[in-house]
Parts: sequence; structure tokens; C-alpha cells
Amino acid sequence: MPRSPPKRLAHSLAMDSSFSPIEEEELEAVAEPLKRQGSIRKVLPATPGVPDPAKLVERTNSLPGIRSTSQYGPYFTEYSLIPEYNMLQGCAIPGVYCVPAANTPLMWFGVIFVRQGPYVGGVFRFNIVIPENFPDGGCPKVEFQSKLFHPQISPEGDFNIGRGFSEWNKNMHHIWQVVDYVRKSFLKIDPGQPVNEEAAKMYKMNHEKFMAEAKKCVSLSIQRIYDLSPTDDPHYISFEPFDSKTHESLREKIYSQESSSEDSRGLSWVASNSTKPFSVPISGVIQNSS
Amino acid sequence: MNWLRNSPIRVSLRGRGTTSSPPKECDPAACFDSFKHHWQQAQNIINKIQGGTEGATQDDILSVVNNLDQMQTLLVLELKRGGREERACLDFLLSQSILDQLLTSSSLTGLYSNILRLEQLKVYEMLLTHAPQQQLLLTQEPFLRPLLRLLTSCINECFPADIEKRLILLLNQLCVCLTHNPEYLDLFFTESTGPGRFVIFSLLVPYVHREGGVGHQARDAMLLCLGLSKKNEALASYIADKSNVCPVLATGLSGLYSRLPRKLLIESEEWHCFTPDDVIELPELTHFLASLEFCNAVVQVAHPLVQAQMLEFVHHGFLVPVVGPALLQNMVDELVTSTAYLELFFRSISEPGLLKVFLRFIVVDHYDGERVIDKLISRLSGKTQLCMVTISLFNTLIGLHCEDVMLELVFKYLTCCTHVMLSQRKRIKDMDVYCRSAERLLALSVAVPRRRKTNSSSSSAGSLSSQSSQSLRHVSLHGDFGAYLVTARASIAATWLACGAWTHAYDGESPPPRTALVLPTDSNRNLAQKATEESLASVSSGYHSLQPDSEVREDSPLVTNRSSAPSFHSTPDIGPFLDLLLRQLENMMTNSVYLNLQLTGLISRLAAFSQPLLLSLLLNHSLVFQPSVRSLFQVLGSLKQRLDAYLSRHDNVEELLLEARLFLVCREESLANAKRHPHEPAASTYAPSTNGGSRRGTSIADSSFKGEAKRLSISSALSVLKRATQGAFSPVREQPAIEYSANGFRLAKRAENSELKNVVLCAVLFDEWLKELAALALEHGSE
Repeated sequence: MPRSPPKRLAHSLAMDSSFSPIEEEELEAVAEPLKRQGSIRKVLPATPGVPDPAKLVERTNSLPGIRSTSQYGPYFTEYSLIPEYNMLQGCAIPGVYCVPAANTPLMWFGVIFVRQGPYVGGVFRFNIVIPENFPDGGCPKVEFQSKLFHPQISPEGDFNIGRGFSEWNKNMHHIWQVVDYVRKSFLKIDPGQPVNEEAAKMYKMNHEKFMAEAKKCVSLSIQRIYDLSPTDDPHYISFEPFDSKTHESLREKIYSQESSSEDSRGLSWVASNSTKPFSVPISGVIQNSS
Repeated sequence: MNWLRNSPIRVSLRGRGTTSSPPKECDPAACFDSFKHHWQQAQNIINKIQGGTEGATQDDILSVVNNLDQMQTLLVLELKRGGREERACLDFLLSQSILDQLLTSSSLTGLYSNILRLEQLKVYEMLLTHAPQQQLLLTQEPFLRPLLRLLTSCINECFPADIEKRLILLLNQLCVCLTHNPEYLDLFFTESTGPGRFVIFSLLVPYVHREGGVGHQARDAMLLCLGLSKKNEALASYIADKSNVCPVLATGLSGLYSRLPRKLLIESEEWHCFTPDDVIELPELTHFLASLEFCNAVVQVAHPLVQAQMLEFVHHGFLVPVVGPALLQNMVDELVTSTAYLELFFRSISEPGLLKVFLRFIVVDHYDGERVIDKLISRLSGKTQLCMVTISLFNTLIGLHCEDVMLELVFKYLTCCTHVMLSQRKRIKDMDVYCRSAERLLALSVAVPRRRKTNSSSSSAGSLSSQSSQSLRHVSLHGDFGAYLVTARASIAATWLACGAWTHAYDGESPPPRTALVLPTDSNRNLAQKATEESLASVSSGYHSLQPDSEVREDSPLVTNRSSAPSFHSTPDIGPFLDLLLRQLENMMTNSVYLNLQLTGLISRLAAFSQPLLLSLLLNHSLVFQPSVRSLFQVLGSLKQRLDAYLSRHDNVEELLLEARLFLVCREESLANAKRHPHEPAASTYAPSTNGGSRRGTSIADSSFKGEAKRLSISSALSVLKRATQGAFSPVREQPAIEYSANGFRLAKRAENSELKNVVLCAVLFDEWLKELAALALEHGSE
């Protein structure tokens, strides 16, 4: 589907400043291989309030002999989620942006720009809520923040993710698939097993009226696009009108990053067709490590 | 010293110069008249000398020098005053060929020729310093011609110190001027200097090994010339073909190396490499490193022609005849020293070209069929000082992140994938998504036997812990698992970046396993075997049934087996380097804590590489290897069992563990302090006292010990601490850490007396290392 970078750029620039534009850019760069530098960015700080289990001195006072690795649980959860987030970034799902909350790795803020279908033009915020014992605690939940009239979204905003992932299989399922499923649910409306009966019924019986309701959701979302953040989490995705004074320099930064390519560094004199050390001919290029 | 310094001439010169100096502000016309007058007087004397038969007297020379001084003062005034039209004195100087006349006369003054030479050098220097557009002077024939003649006349001459100083200063000035205006370089290649001869450079070469300010300035000037050669073929071919700078430098290295101490008085068990303090204590080593750094700088700035020649001479004139024999001799003490020197050299050089020559030398060159690298690898076993410095050397080598080195040590044995069960090969690239490897590693943590504490012991331990937990909780860096993660992440990212230019991915597919079987082998006797291997590879499924897989290799003299047949191996294995490291690791319980720190640090460094072939061998818990291959997980598992069994047989283990932990935490704290207040007061004075060429970019204090600040892992951090707090050649100093725990656990001194305490220290280190490895596994998984 055709993407419209300028428009998206304007929106993304308007996001909270703590939201790194690099992620934005990675989502843009679908064709390019995943850039390592961005992808190893730690987005998930340690869960606060959990006493640090690994402190050298404290540990000696803990029950000896029965030291289960479960004390590293929060770390494992976080490090299981980082690859999930990296995969999501690598997929660059069109029109969808996610960023984990600053305060917990278990909540990701998301926003979707709908580009087709009944909800075209809508900008809907949602949260992904991940079970504490991920990847074992079942499917992550998706909760929409704005009022949405949709067969698969309850009046309270809960997305019917069970329709797509009846059982969470950690060896097959990943969070990017959840996000992509959500995106697709706005393109082609699925009225089966609805959580909003009225919407499903209307979709099947009175298509015109359903389209009008969807349009209402869209305009409502646009009206409320600049609403203030309901949370104090700095990673919450908020928007402000494009202002060249504030945003132009950021925009330039994004463009300049796009053009600059990392030069490869390191020492190697191995010829490409060889597995012998120092097989590059003497006249060969000396890689500069400076 | 300097004959002129106390001579009456000098004194009288100084006296007159000050009394009769012209007024600061004066009429340009008057100045010009005065200038002409002084020249007239000087010229009269010169004419008299040239015409006469008796030669010059001291009074004649004094008079000429005095007049010249006055003229110089007037010239400076004129040049400082500026204004294009008012250069009467300078114009007069040039139009009357005064410099030429001076030069001619100085050759006739016999005994006093050096005095006039000095004056001329001063005139040129003054003109270059004060002329608003110095480069335009170079285009003036009356300036350049006598200058070149003067310089040419200086070749092969020995001068007193003050002339040397002036000469080098002038040469340096000319080099700076030419660097800014390289288009004038061709002016210095004239018939008068001899065909294709660059007289500036020829004059500099004899000063290249000189210590002190003159040597410093000469080397700076030389680097400027070498930099100029990059864009000037004539200069490059002159330096490479006609000057002898490359052999002078390379043989200089050999000469300086032979003056280095062959044995070191190593009083500390933990010493494993030269610290900045050590280097300062050894002036010969300081001098050598300065020379090596200069070679590094030469290679960095010079034209490829010069660069290639330089490298050639370093290889054939220094490494092969001098370093090689030093590394292959039989005297263990001297081997320790030469290995430590080599390690230091690798830390001191940075130019890829120079690194390549050094690396090629140890990986490729043969001595009686043996390569240096094979000998070095064989020294990884044992518990000796030699083993310590060798591990340290490999740590530095691997820290270069050079593909060729890693290929030789590790990947050449892994690319064929025969170490992994056939069915597992496609799993080599698998990522550890849900932290299972980290979980497994952390589960290997030593089980602490629970004992009922006696009153006395618990109180002492309790007081220790309360003291320390109060003061150390916030300074302990690596007690916190999060800190391990941060370190691991930085280490992996740095390693990944440094491998950016590698040719192969080493992921089981690139290079393809089939070609990898054609291992580099240089002995013909293995060709037949090689051919067999190749044919076997094409029908790889039958490969292992043909080989005596069940053959268990004996544990002890593996090294000698290896060195006798280093080129190939019948059972699938991981190569001697990794094999010996893992064997050494199996001995962890009986190794000294210092050896263990080095060893675990080296393996952690290897575990920071992201290449799947190595990563899977070290950190994938579920990959199934051939029975003849030991994986890190296997070794760790057996260590855990033995540690648990040993500790469960002893009382008071809990208390000892606590003390050992406190000891390590204290050392960490001392390390942090040592870093905050660097324990190298002389380091700052050391850097400029080397040849400090501004072109070299980094001073030795920065470059040789680069990366020190980045190393934060427990193993390397502690070793850094040791280096920082304890000079290798001085008696063991009391360290705060030892004093702190003195009432219970004087580890450094007593550990060797007590097997139990050593095992306890090993257990603590093992636990911490598991965290370090787990952190690496987590970070690899989240890339």
C-alpha cells in the first residue's frame, strides 16, 4: 500500500521529544536491513520497586543453597521483550508506531494511522499490555484509548485479540503479529464473534450507517489528537501541531541520518574467496581502523 | 659541552647587542640607511678577508657578527611594521645577494666558519618567522639559492649543540612552511642539491634517534616531510629509494630492543603485563616505545611507497631477526619478558599496516617449521608466569578484533561445522530468544552449604558484613546484575562495530563449510590427508563413522601432540586455542585467583563476539556438539559439581565466602578510586617526553593503555586494579583492600597457603563470572 512519508513525518515530529526519531526512521526504512545501532537500544529499564536481587553483599544474607534463578525474573522478562520490540521495529508495519512505556516494559504505547477502509484518516491510540510472566502468561492485550465503533473492539476499548490468537504459543507468536493483526482489522472489517454486537450487526445490515459511524470515530480522533497526556509516563505518544521553529531541526536531523552511512571499520586481510589469514594480496587495500 | 657558550666572543656579542640596539620607533628611511651602513661595514671586512692572505681574525668575525645582528634587528622592525612598499631593507638584502655573499665568506673563515654559519641560520629563521608571506621568500632566488647551498654544506657535518639546535629549528620551520604550501616543494629539488635529492630530509635523518628537544623537533619535521611525500611522488621516491630512513628506523628498533632487560624481577604473582608505571621505571623500554611509536607515526603519514618500505624493514630488520628468536628461545624467564614486550608492542601500535606486519609475523612466519603463534598457544597451559603473560597477550590480540587472528585461533576450526552434530548445524544461527541460556548459566551458581554458625564466628563475620554493606553497597559496581548488563552491552556493541570490515560472517554459511575444510596447511606431508578430508566432506554424512570418535584424548600432553601436527586433526575439535583455554578452565579450582581472573576475562572477551559459530559454542546451552568437543557449558557444569562437592565437605564455608566477596568488593572499590585518581603521576610527564610529534595524534599514555577505562568486568577490573595499585617490580605494597579485611582474610598473601581459601575465592569468582556470561547471553539475545 502506498505510504505518505511527509504526512507521517509531520506527525511523528510532533510527538513527545523523548520519543526518538531514530525509531521512526527505522520504521520508514522497510527495505533496508535492520540497523543494529538502533535495535540494541535499551528501551526497557528495570522494573522499579523490585529489590535488586543480585547485590553481592545482600545476597550473602539470603537463604543459601536455595538460590533460584527466579530472582532474575524481571531481567528475563525484559530481555524477552527486547527482541520482541526489535522484531516489531524490523517489520516496520505501515502506519503503526509503538514505544514501550518508560516506567514498565510491560506496557507499550501505540498509535495507528489508518490509511484505507472505513476508518481511513483516523489516528487511534492504543496500549499493548503484556502479561507479567511473558512469554508464558498468554496473549498480550490491546486496549484502545479513543472511543471506537468496531465489531472487534468493545465499547470499553478492549480489542478482541482472542479472535486472532486463541492461545499464545511462544514459539510461534510474536508481538509484531498482534500489532499487524490490529492494523488489518481496520482495513477489512471482520464481524464474526464480535465484542461489539451492535457494530457487527450494523456492518452486516446497514453498511452505509456503519460507514458513517466509522467516519464519526475518525473525526473524533482527529479532534482529540492534541489532547494532553493522561499519564506522566514520558514515553506516552502525544502530538503537537507542526511548528518549524521546534521541529524543523529535528526533521533535518532525520534526513541527515538517512543519508549518512556508517563506514565499516576493523582489521581484516582475509580475501573474500579464502579462509586463510592474510590472504588479501600485498597490494590490497588496508582497512583503516582510525 | 658547547665551546662557544663561555667563549669571550659570545660574551662580548651579547654585551654589544644590548647597548647599541636601535630605538623601537624610528623612521623607515633612517632604518634603511642604518641597514645599508651596517652591511657596508660587514662587507668591507668580508672583502678584506676574501682578498687577504692572513685569513680572518677574531675581531673581524666579531665585527661582522655584530653588524649582522644590527641588520637583523632592523629587518625585524621593518617586517613587523608591515606595509608592502616599505620593505627597503629586505629588498636590499635580496637585491644585493647579501645571503650569497655571507655564505661565500663563511666558507673562507676557517676556524670561525661555524660562527658565521650560526648567524646565517639565524637570519633565515628570522626571515621565515617574521616575513608576512614566508612562502613568497621561497620563490626569491637570492633567498632560496644560498639557503639550499647552506643546507647542502651542512650534510655530513658534525656541529656543536647550538648550531644543531638552530639547524633543526630552521628545517622544522621550512617543513611547516612547505606543509602549508606544498606547491613550493619542487623548488627544493634542484641541481645544486644533487639530482632528486631533498636536502631537508637528509639533514633530519641523523637526528631521528636523538633524545631531548632537538630530536623531538627533528622527528616532528620528519613526519611533516613524510606527510608531504603522500602527495609528492618525487619526494616519496627520494625517501624510499635514496634516503636511508627506513633501515635506520628499523635497525634502530633492533638496537633499542637488544638493550631492553632480558629478565624482569617480577615479585608479584599477579603481574601479567607492563603497566604505565613499569614502563616509566624502565628507561630503555620508554626509549624503545618512543621509537616504535615514531615508526607507527611514519607508517601513518607516509606515502604508500615509503610505508611499504618501512614495513618491509620492520619485518626483516626487526621482527624476524630479533623478536622471533626472543619468543622462541628456551629460557623461561626470558620468554616471560619477551612475551610481555610483545603484548606491550601490540598495545602501543595502532596503524593497520604496522599491526598487519606484526600479526603476519606471528601467524605466518616459520622458524624451522614452527610458527610463533603455535608456540604461543602451547604456552597457554600450566600455572606459570609464562602462562599469565601469554593469556594477557592473547587478550590483547583478540582485543584487536582482527579477522585474520580470530580466523587463525578460532574460526578456522569451526567453519567446517564438524564440531556440531550434523542435525544441529542449522541451529548455529538460532538466537536465544527467551533468555534460556542466561537462565541455565545463572542456575550453575555455586550452592552454598548451610551451616549453623558458632557465636564467635558469626559475630566477626557479622561485624564485617555490617561495616561493609554500609560502606560498599553503593560503590560496588558489579554486585549489581544491571551493571553486568551495561558492561556486556557496551562490550558486544564495541566488538560488533570493530568487526565491521570482516570478510566472512562465520555463521555456518559464510564461508561455506565445504571450502573451510581445506584448512591452511603448509607442510606437504599433510596434503594426502587433506585430500582425504575433502573427499570426505563431499559425502559428509559418512564422515564421522570413519573416524575413531570414541577415542578419548588423553588429558596431559596434548600440547606436544598439537605442536607436532598443528595443521590438522582427525577428530572434530575446536582447535588448540579454545581447547587449551577450556582445559585451563577445568583446572579453575587449583589455579591461582589471578590466573583465573585472566582466563575468565579472556573467555568473556571471546563471548562478546557475535559471530554465530563462536557464540553458539560458548553461550548456546542447547546445541549438541560432537562427543570429542567440549563446550563451555560442559566445563562450567562439571566445575559447579566439583565446587559444590568440595565446599559441602568443609565447615565455615559461608563465612569464608562472605570474606572472599568482601575482599573482591573492596578491590573493586580500590579500583574505582584508582580510576578516579590515576595512580600514574608520571604518566602525564611521560607522554610529552617521548617524541610527542603532534602528527601522531595520540600520546603513548593514551594509546598504549587504551581501553583500560572501558574494561569493567570483574575479572579485568580487578586485574586493572592490580596493575594500578601495585608496581610489578616493587615489593607488594599494602593495599587498602587487604588492610580492610586484614583481620580475617589476607587473601593476597595467604591464599596460596590454603587450598580451601583458594577454592572459596574460585567459587566467588565463578559465581560472578556466571553473571557476566549470563549478561552477555542476554545482550546477545536482544540484539
